[in-house]
Amino acid sequence: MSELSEPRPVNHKFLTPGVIVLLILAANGLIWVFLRFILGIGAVTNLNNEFPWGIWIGIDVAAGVALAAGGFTTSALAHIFHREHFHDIVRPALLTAMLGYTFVALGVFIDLGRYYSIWHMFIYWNGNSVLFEVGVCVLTYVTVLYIEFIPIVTERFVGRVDLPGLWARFNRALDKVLRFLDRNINRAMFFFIIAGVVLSCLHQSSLGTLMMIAGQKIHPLWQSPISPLLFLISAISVGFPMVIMESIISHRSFGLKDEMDVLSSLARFIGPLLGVYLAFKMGDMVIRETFVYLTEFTLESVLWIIEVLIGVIIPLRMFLWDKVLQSKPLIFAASLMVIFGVFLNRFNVFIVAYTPSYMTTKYWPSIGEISVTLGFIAIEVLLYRIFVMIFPVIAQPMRRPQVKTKYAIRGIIR
Amino acid sequence: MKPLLIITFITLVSASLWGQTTKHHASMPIKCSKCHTCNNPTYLDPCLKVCPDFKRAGVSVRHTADEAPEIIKIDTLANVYQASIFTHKLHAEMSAMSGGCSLCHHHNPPGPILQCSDCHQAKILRDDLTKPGLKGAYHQQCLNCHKSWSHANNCEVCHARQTDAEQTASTADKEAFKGKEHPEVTEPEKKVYQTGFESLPVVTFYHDDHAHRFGYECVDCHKNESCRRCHDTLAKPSEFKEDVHEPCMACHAEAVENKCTVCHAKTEQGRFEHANVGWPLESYHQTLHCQSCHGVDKTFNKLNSNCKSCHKDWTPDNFNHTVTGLRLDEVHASFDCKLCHENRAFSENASCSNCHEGYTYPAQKPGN
Amino acid sequence: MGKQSRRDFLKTSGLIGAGLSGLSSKKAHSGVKKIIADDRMGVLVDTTLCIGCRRCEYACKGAHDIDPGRIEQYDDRSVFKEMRRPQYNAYTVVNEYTDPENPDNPSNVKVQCMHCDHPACLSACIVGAFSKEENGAVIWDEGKCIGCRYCMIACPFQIPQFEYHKALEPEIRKCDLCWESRTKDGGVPACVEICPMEALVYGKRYELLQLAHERIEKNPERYLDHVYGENEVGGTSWLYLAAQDFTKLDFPQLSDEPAPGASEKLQHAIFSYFIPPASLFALLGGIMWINRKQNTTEEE
Repeated sequence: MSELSEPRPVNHKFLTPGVIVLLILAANGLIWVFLRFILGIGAVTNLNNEFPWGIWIGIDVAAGVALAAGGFTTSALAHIFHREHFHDIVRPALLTAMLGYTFVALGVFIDLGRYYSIWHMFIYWNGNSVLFEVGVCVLTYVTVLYIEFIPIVTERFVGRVDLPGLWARFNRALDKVLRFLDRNINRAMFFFIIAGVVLSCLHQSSLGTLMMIAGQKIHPLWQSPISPLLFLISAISVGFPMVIMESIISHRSFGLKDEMDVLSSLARFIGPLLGVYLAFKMGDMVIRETFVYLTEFTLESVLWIIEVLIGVIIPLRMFLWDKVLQSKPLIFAASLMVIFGVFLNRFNVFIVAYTPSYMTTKYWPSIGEISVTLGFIAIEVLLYRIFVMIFPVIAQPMRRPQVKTKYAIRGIIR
Repeated sequence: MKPLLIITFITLVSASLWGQTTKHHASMPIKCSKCHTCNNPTYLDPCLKVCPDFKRAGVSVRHTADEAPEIIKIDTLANVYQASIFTHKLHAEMSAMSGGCSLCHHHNPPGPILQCSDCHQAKILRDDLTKPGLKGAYHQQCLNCHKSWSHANNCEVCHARQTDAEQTASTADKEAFKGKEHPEVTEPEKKVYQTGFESLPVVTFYHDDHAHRFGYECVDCHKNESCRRCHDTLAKPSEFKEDVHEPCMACHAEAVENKCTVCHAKTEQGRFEHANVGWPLESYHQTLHCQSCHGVDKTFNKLNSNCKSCHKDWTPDNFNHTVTGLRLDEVHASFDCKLCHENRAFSENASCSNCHEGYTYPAQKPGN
Repeated sequence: MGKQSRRDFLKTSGLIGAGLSGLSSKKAHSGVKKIIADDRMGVLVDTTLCIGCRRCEYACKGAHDIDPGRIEQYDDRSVFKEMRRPQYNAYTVVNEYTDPENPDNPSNVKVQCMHCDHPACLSACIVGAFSKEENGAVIWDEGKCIGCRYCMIACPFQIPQFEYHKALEPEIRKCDLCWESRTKDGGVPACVEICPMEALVYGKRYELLQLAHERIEKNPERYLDHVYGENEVGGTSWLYLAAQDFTKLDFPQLSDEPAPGASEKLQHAIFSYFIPPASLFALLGGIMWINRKQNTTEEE
């Protein structure tokens, strides 16, 4: 590596016009969440007995999980395959995944009719249920992500715990805990890293199995027996574009120098991954002869074409082009397309493809549902901003010589 | 030789018939115990089961509607609703036009008339699910017809609510239904149908001719009548050609073939006149029933005008010319038929010119 | 760090392996009750007999603590103008369909939970809140449900209904074959008991199938030669006879494969005794170890 860098808290003012917009969206979302708990799901959403799941599941959960895949893909790349070149982007990806999954869990929580019984899934197991598998994997993975984040907390606060006011009496105890964690957690960290990747593979694919049980209620374009495989490959493919998109946006927002060399080499993986995804998707279409549905002009066929053309084929061509890999605007645009493609795929599978056996009205999300979804995204972005300003997440040029870190995840090994 | 052959033939036929009857019964591939309660059933004591496990083809309700009970109170299952009063006699009389007693009494071995509850159990959880339970048996029997013509199936049509004290007196009282009769059915003289057949729209049907002149019984035609014919609250004329034609075609199919004009005309048509078919009925023929010549089949056989086609036993020896309405005088009576009826064409006028110059028949009849 | 962490690695791996195998054996014996008894009960619905009196709707409400209103209200036939579906406060409804070939004799079809032999809801439920009981009833356990509504996604007949209007304790509501109040103790479902026409027959499923085929055989012109529910989605406890094509009576056209179908198989394949996930874990561990070794060697 030509230039030395280390993760440091970003020093930037918090409030900007963009942040104010996000704060408004967040507040609006929280108001609707509050209303949902007071008045019930029926009052706030357009969900009914024909459409039991809406965008809270289709976008907040299904798309949310897919778009948080950057965490496990970069973690696998950097730690399991030991591509040290990419260590700079591990922490931002980890933070995104951690926040992303937290909000996936919150999304599920508000969508549950009996949210206060969510703990039942740990005592009443149904091994046949795909949802059970997804639920357990996601919650375990959230825990793993928090554990993976602990070294970042200890790095920042060991010896620097300074709680305000009355809480100050706990300073010593907290410091001890942090030191204990700092000493011991690294021994087991490799386990959590691998577990994170395994759990991700499991639930990313199981999300694809989730709608299979709906049988003919799912449009044949998406009701595929290899749906879990398609979900897994697409999740892996969207991981790096997410990291690229976040890196470019956050660096621009904080006025930092971009990491184009890292991003370009990261982008080289995306083309082949998209290629594999496209191959499986097309192979599935040819074998099941679902192309006949494309001759009909329906919402489903149009969205399928948009999903594959804009989300897969065009960015696939772009990522295989050296000029794109070197250009920040083009690499950003291509990444956005992949993200859009996977987002649309999840939206399609969970919402567009679903036709109830007895349908009287079409589903369209209510103001409340859209508000909550936008609110959650806003809060996620805000929390990301707060976290990178407090914790050493984003890599910045090194200010002073640094002792070698104990474990890779804590920082950069020269 | 000939008598021997005839005897052999008769023996064979009767033997085969006998064989068939025995086969029909004792050698059928079912166990005797399926129908009989004892080991050796005889003709006089068949010891038949009251409710055998299969539906018998024959039903032996040996009563006329007049002998039947007039009112039956069905109260076996009364709980939410009160007992239903069933005007039995009224139904029995009307059933003559739609299947008879066996329409409801679909199974009854020789002996007393069975009640529904003799075979149909009142229990819902019962061993034999193939027979409807008592409640189902009642309601399926009544509503199969009543549903189709009243288009109403609210329970109060037949039952009073158990809670309605006021209605108790009116509907649950058997006496209130006594003497209830179907209003007299007026018989139309003729019906003139305006059909959708544009070029020949009118069909004239003389009901009284069919009912009285042609010698048909009501049930000869009105045998599959449903109450709906008259009682349907939403009745609308049938639009299907086959449905409209069906009642006439049962007898007239052969005559009609594809000739619409047999029934259809531009204007209303007159009654059937025998003369129109080329055979004006005169003297003795006028007083005969149609069946006397045309057979007892519902469809009248077409006859030719040859006397022998009806009067098969007429020979020159036994023929009494008087029955034709013309008693021959002694001279003419002794002639051979051919002398006047050339070529034995009896349907044509006799020829007088063989003997009498300038004589013509019938102006100069040979008798009175 | 090299040596130390490699030893840790092996030690922890062993522990994880043991943990995972423990986990998998527990999973194999998950506590979902699904009994498919040979003499399970069922209901045969003869849509040609049903007269649409809707007394079953009345009795059903009475049997499930829902206010049924006055019985006369059920004589109102104007409700048949629209197709109705079961609701949180009406576990069964009767619809009417006119047969274009026989307009005077409409078919009335009672709709309620079919009580599948291989229920999709039971397979889907995250906490196993559904169970199939000895008599064939598929019932829902309020004590387990978390309100995720995946059962509604899974059900091919769109039967489970959620109480969207409730902020607290919303229930999944559907026909329970009167399990709690009647059939558990050998009783008859309320709808069957009240049906005046005996268009509903409650009995052992295999006997009902015989009965259904017997009726078709005896009256081939009255019935379509198909017993809906005999094979659909692997068989259901409720069986239907009809005079016209079932799709015209709004029955979904379904294959004979059990409704959970491929999803359950796939799920079990991915998790068969936890071997695939454990192998993936081992594989990744191996890659990590090899890469680290190379790295350490390079560093040293």
